Amino acid sequence: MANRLRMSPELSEAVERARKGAREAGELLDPPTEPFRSHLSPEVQAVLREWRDSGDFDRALAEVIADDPDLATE
Amino acid sequence: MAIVVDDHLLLDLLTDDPDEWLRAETDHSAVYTTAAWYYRLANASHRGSGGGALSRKLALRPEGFQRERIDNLSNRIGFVGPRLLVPVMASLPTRRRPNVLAAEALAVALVTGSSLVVSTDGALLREGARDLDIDYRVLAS
Repeated sequence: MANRLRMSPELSEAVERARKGAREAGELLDPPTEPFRSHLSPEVQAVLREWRDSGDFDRALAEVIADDPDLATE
Repeated sequence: MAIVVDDHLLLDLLTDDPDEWLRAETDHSAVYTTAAWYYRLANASHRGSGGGALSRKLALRPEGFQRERIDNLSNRIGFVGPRLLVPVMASLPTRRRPNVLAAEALAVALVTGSSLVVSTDGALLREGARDLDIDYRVLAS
């Protein structure tokens, strides 16, 4: 498509090499056979939800990003 | 089918509280995240003023809960290591130079054949995904 860039040979080679390495290292996941469920207990999930819903997560994340622009979404 | 999720959506999954689309998607798609997004989430869990730090909240719970941390991620969440990923990140031919977070997310999506699914729209990632023909979706977290 006109508004997309072509994958350079260098990038295509790097992607293929990474894919092969990831497969050999077991880093490529098979499609799941059962629904995703958190490994955390309901009690810990509740603490995490409270942390998220209170805005504390967003405030702490803003601190993290302010310290390192390379971790910013923009 | 596979997706790469950001830190907010990862937290939604860890709390078994994803939105309807994400819940349905994870029934049949492998889920990956990036080291940068995982680091942001894990680091945020140790920060916060007053009583805001998650680590302090968990410290008030019985000992067993303290061992269940974000830092100990489920094997259902996939990662690709930097040895494989950095050469891809360094070769991305995007119009705008991505920062480390965006470069890693784009590289993971390319290597795993994933869609990028994020909670916050950002031009660097959106435009990089468009340049590389990667499916890009924004969900409200």
